[in-house]
Amino acid sequence: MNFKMGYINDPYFLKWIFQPDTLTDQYWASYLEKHPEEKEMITSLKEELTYLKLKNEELSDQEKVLLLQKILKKKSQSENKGKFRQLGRNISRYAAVAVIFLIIGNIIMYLYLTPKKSEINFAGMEYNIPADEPRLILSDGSDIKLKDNSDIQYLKEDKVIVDNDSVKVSLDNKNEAVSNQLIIPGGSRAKITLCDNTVVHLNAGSKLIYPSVFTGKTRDVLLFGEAYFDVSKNEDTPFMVRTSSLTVKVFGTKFNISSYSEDNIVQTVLVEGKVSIKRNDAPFYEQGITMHPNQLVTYNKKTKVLNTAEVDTEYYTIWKDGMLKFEDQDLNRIIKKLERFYNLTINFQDPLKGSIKISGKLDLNENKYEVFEYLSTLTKMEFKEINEKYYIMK
Amino acid sequence: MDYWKLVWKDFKAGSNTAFEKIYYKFIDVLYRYGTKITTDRELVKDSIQQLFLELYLSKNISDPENIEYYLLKALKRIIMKRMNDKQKYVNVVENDLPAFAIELSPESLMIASEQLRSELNLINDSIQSLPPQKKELLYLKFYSGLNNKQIGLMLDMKPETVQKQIYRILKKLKVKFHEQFQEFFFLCLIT
Repeated sequence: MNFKMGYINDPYFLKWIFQPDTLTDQYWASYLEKHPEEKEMITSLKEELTYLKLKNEELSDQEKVLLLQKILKKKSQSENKGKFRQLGRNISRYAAVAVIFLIIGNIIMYLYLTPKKSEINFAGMEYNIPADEPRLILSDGSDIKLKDNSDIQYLKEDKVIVDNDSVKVSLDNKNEAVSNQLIIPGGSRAKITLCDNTVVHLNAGSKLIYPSVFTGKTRDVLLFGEAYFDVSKNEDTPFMVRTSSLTVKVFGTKFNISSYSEDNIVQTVLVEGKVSIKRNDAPFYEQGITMHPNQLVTYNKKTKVLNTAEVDTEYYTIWKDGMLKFEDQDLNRIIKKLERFYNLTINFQDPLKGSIKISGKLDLNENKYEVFEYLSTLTKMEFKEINEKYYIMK
Repeated sequence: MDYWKLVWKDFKAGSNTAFEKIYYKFIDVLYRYGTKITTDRELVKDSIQQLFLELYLSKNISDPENIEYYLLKALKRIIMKRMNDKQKYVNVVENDLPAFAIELSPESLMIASEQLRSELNLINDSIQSLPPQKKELLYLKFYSGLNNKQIGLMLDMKPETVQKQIYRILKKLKVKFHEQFQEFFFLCLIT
């Protein structure tokens, strides 16, 4: 009977029961094969103990990534500070010797304090998108400035084409999940073709983080802001779009997701195919919502409620052609989109006017003044220019 | 030398890749344990951040015998310190947590048959009425890779006491379970 005594004191046995993974499953399956006489005992014990599983709080994958980035960033900051202090001490020690030493010290300090390329990768991970120029940051740390509506293509080989210019990239397979970043500030848009031929249109004020090559069981990308996805079909490796509050799982389809950090509502619209949506903080046993074409799922970050509605998807996706189409929508929401699109600020003299409902279609490729004039006639309000970046509607 | 000791060595030498390996290996176990001590998720996240930064900055830490034990113990200290600073507890004895919240997973209750469910509800009640230290002990037994000696060090107990305590707790919980189950624990734990 001695063989039974060990189990409860074997952490690996308890791991198999309470936190099983493929390794524990394999180990115990082969153990049972070798010890058939214990099989009945072990399986019934496992069944009973499984009922004693405890409730656990989990971090979402995205939260884990963000926490990791935060630690790495803090670490590199404190390292730089440490170097600074150390150098400072050295300098004071030799200050009396000659001023020239001080100059050398300064040069060294400058060299040390300039962040290493690998650290730039992590430094840009916050939610806030710097409102300067559109940028593409590659996995090797190189930072490419983009034009306003850039077209980027990742080829199967280690090559990226930016607006018809080819750029060489090194395909590292470490840190894939955080390696490449496409950052599009207000006033700009971009189109990117990932290595699996998935096409992503990234809207103004958005950021996409993605690997050079997809190697895992899922094709994971991180999205802050709004994007339209045309995902290439691959049943074996689902495409996962992670945002701060939701994760959308797809096999091959066209859909739009709008998840700006400053908006309280996350909108997902499905044009074609099938996707499933899950809250990042949902318990593990909760099933995601399955969407069908022409559906809109809204998620309210405050109430945490998901809602489904039938819609005309064109209203939600036409921005990728530089248009805006709306029916019975709050003027507030339209203005917010114009602000992002043109990278400017528009305020209402009378804030209540923001809630009037309007319908129409705008071609944003036109001069902004023409768009303003069209909106003026629609709303019977006028745009007053305070300066190039700031307007008031009254 | 086992794999994790090698990773630890790289980590101490400053490798970010080694750090990421350690982070992903232990983040779940740390976060789950932390959120049993306090429901303040941000405090737990901040404490995990502090834990790793402290590891980074203290260059002369010795190689721990068991990384998981080392991290859990350090996290417990950091969380308790932060909670003390926040709530101004008086007389908090080291290693003695003010609370430790565990309950059965709702999944267990869902998959159980009706009859079993009422039994599980009773078990759940008795789990929740355990004193914090015993809850912590049960939790560490089930959800960490620590052995009795390490659990004992976490809780200021001798390994034999850990063994006896687990036996008592499970005996209290398993009363409603099948005879075979009782027999098993009897066999496992009486020694």
